[in-house]
Formats: sequence, structure tokens, C-alpha cells
Amino acid sequence: MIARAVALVGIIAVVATAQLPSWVLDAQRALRDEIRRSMDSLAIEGIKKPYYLEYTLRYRWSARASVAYGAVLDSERTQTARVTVGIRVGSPERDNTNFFDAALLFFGGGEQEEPYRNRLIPHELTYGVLRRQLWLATDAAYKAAVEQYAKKEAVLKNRVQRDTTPDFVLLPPATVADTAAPLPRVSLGTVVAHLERISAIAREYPALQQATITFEHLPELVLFVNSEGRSAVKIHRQVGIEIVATTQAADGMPLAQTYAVYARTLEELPSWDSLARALRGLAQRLTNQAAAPAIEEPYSGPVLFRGQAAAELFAQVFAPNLVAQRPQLSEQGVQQQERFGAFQNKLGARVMAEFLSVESAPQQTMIGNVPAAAAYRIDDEGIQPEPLTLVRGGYLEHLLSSRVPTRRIRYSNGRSRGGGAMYDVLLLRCNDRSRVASDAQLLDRMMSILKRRDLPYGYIVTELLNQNLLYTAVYQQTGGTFPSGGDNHIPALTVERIWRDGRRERVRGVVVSPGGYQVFRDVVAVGRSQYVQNLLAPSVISPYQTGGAQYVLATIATPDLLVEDVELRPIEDGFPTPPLIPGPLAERAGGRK
Amino acid sequence: MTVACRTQWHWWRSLLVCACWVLGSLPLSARDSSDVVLTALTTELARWQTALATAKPPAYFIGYWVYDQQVMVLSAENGALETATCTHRRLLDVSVRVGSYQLDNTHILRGSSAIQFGRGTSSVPLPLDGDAEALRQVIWLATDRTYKAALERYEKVLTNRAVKVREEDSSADFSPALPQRTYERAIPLPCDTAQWATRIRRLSALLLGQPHVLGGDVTLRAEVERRYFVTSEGTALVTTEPQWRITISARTKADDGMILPLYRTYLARSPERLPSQDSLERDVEDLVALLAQLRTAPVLDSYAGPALLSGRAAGVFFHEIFGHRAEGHRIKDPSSSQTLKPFVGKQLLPSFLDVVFDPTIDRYAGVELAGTYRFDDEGVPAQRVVSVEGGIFRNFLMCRSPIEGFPASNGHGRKQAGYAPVARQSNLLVLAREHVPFDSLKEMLRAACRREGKPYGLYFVDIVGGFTFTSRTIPNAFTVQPLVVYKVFADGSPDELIRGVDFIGTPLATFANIVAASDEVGVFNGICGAESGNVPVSACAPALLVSKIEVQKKAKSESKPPLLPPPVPTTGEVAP
Repeated sequence: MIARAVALVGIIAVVATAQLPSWVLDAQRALRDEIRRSMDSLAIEGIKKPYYLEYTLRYRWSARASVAYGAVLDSERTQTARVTVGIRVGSPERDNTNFFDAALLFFGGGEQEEPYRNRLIPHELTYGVLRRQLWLATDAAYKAAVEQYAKKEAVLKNRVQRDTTPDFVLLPPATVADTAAPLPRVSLGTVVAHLERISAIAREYPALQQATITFEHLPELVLFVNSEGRSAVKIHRQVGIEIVATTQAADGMPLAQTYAVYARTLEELPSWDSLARALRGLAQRLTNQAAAPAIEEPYSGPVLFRGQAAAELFAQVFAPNLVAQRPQLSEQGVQQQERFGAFQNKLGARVMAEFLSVESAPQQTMIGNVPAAAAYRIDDEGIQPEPLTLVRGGYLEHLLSSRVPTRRIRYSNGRSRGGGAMYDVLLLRCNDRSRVASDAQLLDRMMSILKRRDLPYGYIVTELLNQNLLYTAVYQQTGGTFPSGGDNHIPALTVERIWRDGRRERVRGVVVSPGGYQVFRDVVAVGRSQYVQNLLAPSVISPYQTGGAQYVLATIATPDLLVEDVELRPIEDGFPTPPLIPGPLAERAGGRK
Repeated sequence: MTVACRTQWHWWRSLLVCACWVLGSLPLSARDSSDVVLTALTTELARWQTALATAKPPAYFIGYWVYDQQVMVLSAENGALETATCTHRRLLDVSVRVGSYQLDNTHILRGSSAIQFGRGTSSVPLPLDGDAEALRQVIWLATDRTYKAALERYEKVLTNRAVKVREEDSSADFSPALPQRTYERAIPLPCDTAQWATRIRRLSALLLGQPHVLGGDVTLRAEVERRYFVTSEGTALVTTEPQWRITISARTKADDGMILPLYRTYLARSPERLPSQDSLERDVEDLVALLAQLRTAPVLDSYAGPALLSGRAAGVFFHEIFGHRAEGHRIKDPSSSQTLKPFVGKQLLPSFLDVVFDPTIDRYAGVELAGTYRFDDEGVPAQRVVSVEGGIFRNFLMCRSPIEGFPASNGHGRKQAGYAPVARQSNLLVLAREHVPFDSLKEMLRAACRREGKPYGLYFVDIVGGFTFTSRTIPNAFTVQPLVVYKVFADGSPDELIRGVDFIGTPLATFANIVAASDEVGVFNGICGAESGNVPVSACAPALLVSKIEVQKKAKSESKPPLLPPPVPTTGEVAP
């Protein structure tokens, strides 16, 4: 594996380019010139000079709007440029990084100092403006780095360090580019007009308390240059539409339904008519859900996760563990990563059912006929990713890595995104045909398990609540009252109870307690088709540590999953009483009757 | 810890004329029928009044605020645009009071019950277009949630009262107010970024190429805020407030690491009343020159002795150490030090000083004032309040939360969107019955130094802001943060610029040390931040001679100035 990574580094070349405007070339020149000057001259007497320096310039044209009930809540276009400086002092064997220093790492410089992470700079970039901004940011970053290095050295003087993993591995120079696609532009006015028309559909569903549609278009031109002679230029494209509707059942239980689509371009998103249908479907599901009974008892038994629910279960429970993480040294000792750190020492171990495999395919732009929004050709450190089989036949083979070496993985496999290593386009596949079943066969398999365990019913979950939507929309819309079930639980939005005699009924108030990645060892059969979900996934490496993004695009493709044993719990939190009087929409609907 | 206020005076340095408020005003009935926001508010108010009149417990007051904000922001650094945005948003705040005027859900909770996590007030976004129904759906849900929160808190209030000792101040929680109605016309804010971009770029470019200026920017913020306030008492106010503000900031760093910022701010209620480009450019050049002097100015370690405060500095000083303690709601708070409570009807300041808060005037000493309004944020008409008369403390600033001896509002209940109103300052005027020319005051400073055997006194010219502590649990002190301070030598030698000190003290001791005032008045306009958010205020005062003040070393960066010289700029194409 290590040899392969080294070989990859050697063959990096230009990927795809188009003629860049001259201001981009000027900006690249400014980045290179200030790196050269800093590497040559930046020094404090008696203190080590930097041995590595990198600049990332992100130039973004964003457009955003949210609408509700046929009216605009807000809309905005912004143009920003931000620069981040990465600097290393010491040597690749031991430098200032991989050290948790709350004073420096959290804030990217003290209150009064110049910022050097995500530093907002003029977007009307010229060579001179950029050089000046880089000068101040580099100066602050270097001073912070040498202090951090000194603290780390001081800590290590009093410790016997058994882990001798280097802090960094230098690479040869390379130039890569991915700018062939034009920078996408949208007419925000046109988008808003469509969304207003679609959002007005929610007025036909008086049981809903709130229904909002949010649109976000975030294209970026990213320039990366480092002191190794590596440079990258790429166009990152991201657009998304989220629909979130909320209400309360008659007993007051807050309920939600969501629909979220993400892509690289507006053209890749579903059509406006399709969005309108999605809103109607979502509104009807929520109306039905409000009238459905709440589950009363905890359940432990077979559960069939279908479509979005299977993908979301994989994204929330399994995928984050596939990212290589390095424990941080701090003044208190080594801080082991508890969150999603389960696979760090499990290379070669069985982590899921033996008939399942997981592939990472970040360069795959389409899965079937669905665009993979998370696809990319160059990562944030200028490395080209290659496809990897992460889990083969249930056994863990690889982890996704950035240039931060870990005990088992020294080299990057090109997965640095949003500030650290992150999962990308993941495909969960079945290698054993005998485990692949049609919808009817999956239900038959479920029935036999129910019978064997003498359970009167099982559950089919078709929608789980996405974490990004929970924290950025559902909590807000429900005034913070939405019962999420707490850590390590996932609220299930659409659930059916299926009885052994085949009867089905929709239920509400269900929280899935998967109990960790081990739930994927209990998968007993999978569906025939793949469901592709593009989502905004929480960064696995904390943005507090990296200064990066809180959420990063990911694409998950999974078949339906029949799991032999999963715990489902009723919502036990209290919730607010229903509104004292009907809403205006409900009142009008009542009057019409 | 209670930090009552942190004022950012640098934001608004001077104001120019505006008469839009009065000119735009019309009777409510003349203009309101087609106003979809007003229609939505009054419709939902009527529905909820009916519903909550019979609820258990009933609500006795419902109030809606809507803040319709159109904002254009342009900022530039190094001659290049950093931000250029136009935004429009509408925010709804709801107040529901359960119980009675005497005792309701807003009553102060004492002890640990006062700590309520996750129960802060926040605004709800409202649709910007569409019909009243889309607005009403949001207003309906927000009212329901606010009533439930009020109910929950009211239960806590009843229990808290039962288990705690009798309160020192048994005043009512809310005072009735006469219904008020007005309707001002809307003022559009065209999103014309191109026109302003050239001016902003040119100003910021003047900071570039100055070796000692590390950074700085120029920002234009134009805002038109249309406010709606509708209550179950019959008040319906629709007012429009335009505001144009240019802020210039620049910073340098001394060799000892101290970061030295300077600010210039200009505010007007229409763009044509902002200073001319030439005038702004001259100010930038002055600021750059002053920064160069500050960078090499000596640091003053500590000092206790006589000092002179410029009119603007004295204004901030009074705002911090007197004004916040005159805000009436603090007298009810058992954790507040209630400094001024025993002084009602007694001598507090030297007998030659009066202090007045007057939101009804829009200009003083030739400068337009920021703390001017027709109605406060509780629907009470603005009133002139004489707080100190001949040195005797007479009046607190009152919102609709009465205190013992002060049962009614005097039009000073103020808030920012997302907060509940409390008593706040408006236009503070320090008036001197006896005064001397400024040069005489400066000579008096020199004389005081000679009497005390001190080689120099201090002259505080410019101040960035300050903060004060009003809690009982920590020392009742204030800090005023100067930007520009001079030594004034007893022997008449030329004044010397110094840096690195904050002006500190305790209120009563400092009041007693004010010995004289000048006949020239300084005006400071700023944004004051406290419990009810940020509100625009003014402070006008003569220069004051204080017989004894104390300064302490300012907190400073320990980081060295940049290790490398600035890069030599070359030209290139500008990004779009």
C-alpha cells in the first residue's frame, strides 16, 4: 500500500485545464513569490525557519435564497476571497503540527493578531493586494507555529514517546489543474421565482406548521501552492436545494420531513417539476405522519432500511470510521480520538458482513444515472485521488488519508477535503449473489427472522434524518424542540410497522439506536438496486482542529439493507403541547370545508 | 458578572442633518390599508387576543415588533473591494405577558432560578413578499411559542416569589401606556454598489503604501430600517429610519507589539449629507499621520493625578459611569449594585452640573445626534428627562418596568431586534452652569499639577469606548479606553503624545473629583451594547477637569511587528 502511494505521487500530472484568465495567473504568481520570499527570509534569530509553507486561496461566488409559502425569506449574492496559510517549523520527523494547543489552534492567531486561517481578503484581487495580505498572514502563522513547536518540544522532553510516526512526509513538485468545466453561474432571480412557485404548494397542506425551501450555490475557484513546488488550481462546484417541513401531531410530538438534493451544477439537480412533486410528496407524508400512531415500546429485531435510510445509516454510522485519524499530542499527553476512531487499529479486521465491500471512487461523477456531487479530481492538498477498496469481503483494507501521517498510513491517498481527511464517493456493494434479494424476497427474509424470534412485527425504515438538516433547519423550525434522541441515535422520519400477517401501518416517534458500526456485521441481505444519496456530511476531523469546513459534500450509494437486529426506541422526551389555535392556513382550510 | 455596556464610540463620530422622520409621518389611517405587514400583524393580534383572553392563565398583553431592514455594505482594503452586498430581511419579535401588570412572567427571578439555559430571545425571519397569509403563518407559530414560554416562566415566578424573602422593590412589572398611532412612509434603498465602490476603493487606497500602516479598511453601510410595533393596548406605530455610515479604520503596531488602531466614523440620514470625498481623504491623511506619531510615542506606565477630558471623552465617561447607573431597571435587580438609589434628591455631582437625556432633539452644538427618536421601543413617546439638576440626582431613565418612586415610563425603553426592551440612554447632555474657556481649563490643569508637585497631567482627546460593571459581586468599577492621550506639562512645555493606558476608576469617587468645565462642547455618537442589544446613542459634554484620575496599563499584544518588510507591489489584472 505504501509503495503504491509513493508511485502515485510520482505520476501526478495535469488533469484538465482551460485557459485561465490572467488575474488567476497573477494570483498564482503572487502566491509563489510570497512563498519564495518567506521560505528564503522569514526567520527569528535563534529560532528554526519554516521548512514547509502552503497557501490556499478560495475565491467564491455564492448565491443563497430561502422561501416559504410562496414568499422570499431572504436572498443574497456574495463574492468573497479567503486565504489560509499552512506552515511547518522543525523537521518532517517532528514539527509544530499534530499538537493540540487550544490557545493557537482554536482561533488561528490571538485576538489581536492577524488571522491566517480563512482570512477574508479583498475579492478584487491584484498581485500587489494578494502579496500584502499573504505577508501579514504568513508572519502571524509563522510566529504561532514557532510557539507551538516550542510548546510541543517542551512536552516531549519530559515524555517517552513510543509512537515515532513522522509529522509530515515531503513530496516532489507537481502541477495539477482541474479547470476544464466553466465556472457555473446562476440567475438567482430565476431560481427564486421557481422556488416561490413551488413553495406555495405547501399552502395546500394545512396540517404543516412550517415549510421552507433553501437554495445554495457555492462555486469556488481554488488555488493551492506550496513550498515543495506543488501547485493546484481547480474549480469546485456545489449547489443544493433543501426542503424542510415541520408540524406537530395531535399529542404535540414535533414531526419533520425533509428532502435535500445536492449536485455540482444547477443542471444536474432535479427539474423544477420534480421538485414540486417532491414537495407534494413530502407534505403528504408529513400530513399522514401526524395522523399515525406513535410507537410505545422499544423494539429489538430485524429492520429493513430502504433507499435514503440505508444510505443515511451508512453515512452516519459506518463511513466516518473509514477516515484515518491521528491522535493529537497536547500538554496533557496524547489525546486519543474517540469519535469515529474505531477503525484506526483495525486494518485487516472484519468490520462488516463478509458479503459486503466498500469502495471509494472520488473520480466517479455518475453512479448509474445519478450525478455524484462529491466527485473530485484534486484534493485540497493538490493530490489526485485514486479509487480504493476500503473494505473487501467484510475486511478493512484501507483508510482514507490526507498528508497527515498516521501509524499505519504514512501517505496521502488524496482525501483531504474541508480541512482534513474526509470520505467522498462511497459505494457499498454486495459480493455474494445469494445475499441479493428483490423487495419481496427481503420481506420474506424479514418474516422468517420475525418467526424465528417469535416477534409479532418488524419495521421498515425509509427515511432517516440527516444531521446537517437536523442542526441547520429542523431544530430552528421547531424552536429547538425536535426530539433527536441524543448522541448515537438517529431520528427516523418515515417508518412502517409490518406484521407477520403482512399488514402494514405507518408509525411515528421512532429513534434508531444502531449501536455503532457493528450493525453492519448484522446485515443479512441487500436489495437489488443502489440508492444514491448526496449529502452534506459533518467533517470527521473536527473543524475546531483544522479550521476547515463543518460540513463537506459526500455521496453514498447503497442497496436496501436488511439488518438482523437493530434497536428502535420510542421518543421518550417530553414535547410542547400543540398550538392553542389553528394556523391561518388551517383556519382557511377549515372555513372552506 | 454583569458587563453593563461596551460602547463602540468609534463607529459614529459625527452626524449630519436629517429631517426625514418628521416629514415622512402621516396619520395611521391614511397609509396603512395596503401595508401587508401591518395587515398580517393586526389580524394575528386580533386572533390571539381573543384566544389568550380565555387561556389559563390569560395573557394580558401581546406586542409585535417587525424590523424590515434593507442593508447595503461595501468595504474595501488596499484599494480593492472586500465586501459588496445588498440584503433585505424582516425580523419578528413577539412579547406575550401572562399574569397582570403587577406581577407577570417578566418578573425578576432570584437565586439559581434566574439561570435559564436556551431561553434567550431571538428574532424570527418573516417573508419579504407575498400576501398576508404567508406572514401570518409565521406570526401565528411565533405567538404560540412565546405564550408557552411566558407560561412556563410565570410558573417559575410564582414559585420563586413563594420561596424567597420579600423583595426590596415591590413595584409592578409593567406600567400601562396610552395607545399611540403613527405611520411613516417607506424609503427605498437602491442597491447601487457601483456608484459607491469607486469612492470606497479610493479612500482605502490611501492607506496602502504607508509603511507604518499594517492594515485598515473603509466601510460604507447604508441601512433603511422600517419598524412596526403593534400591541394589544391599541398601539400601532410604523416608523422608518434611514442611516448612512462610513467607517475608516487603520492600525499600526509599535515595536513593543502594541497594536494601535484609529477610527473615523461619519453618519447621516441621507447619502448627500455625508462628508465630501475631499474631506474624507483629508481625514484619512490626518489619521495616517497620527498613526505614525502614535507608533513611536512613549508608553505611560501608570499615573494618578489631575486630568483633562475633551468634550467627547467626557461624554463617553458620563455615559459609562453615570448613564448606565441611571437606567432604572437596574434598581430592581437584586444583583445590581444600585449605586444611585440612595442619591435620589441628594447631591451626586458638583452643583455646577446638570445631566439631561433628551431623545426629542436631533442636533446639539451644530452636530446631529444619534440617540434621537419619536417613540421608544415600547410605544411611549420620547421625553426629555432631567436626571441631575444642580448636582442633585432627580430622575432615573425609565422603560415600562416601574421602580419604587418611579411608576411610569419616560420614553427610554429601547431594544435591538431579538432582545426585550429595558431602560437605555438616548442623547446624554452634560450641561455646565459655570464654565471657562478651554485654554483656561488647560491652564487650570497645569496649576493643579504644580500644586501637587507633578511634572505633568493627562489630556484625553479621543476614546474608542469603555465598559462598566454594575454587579454587586465584583468591584463596581469602570474602564474607559482612550486612543489619543497627551501629557500636558506643568511648566508649559509642548504637549507630548503617549500611548498604552486605560482610564479606570469607581463612579462615586470620580464624580466628586470633577472640578471645572469648559465652554466648548464635544459630541460623540456611538452604538451602545447592553442587555437589550445595540442601540444608537449620543453623549454631549463640555471638556472637564478632574482633580484625580487613575490609569492602568493597557492589555497589549506580545507579538513582534512583521519580521519581513512589506512586499514590493507590482501591478496585475484585477479579479472580477
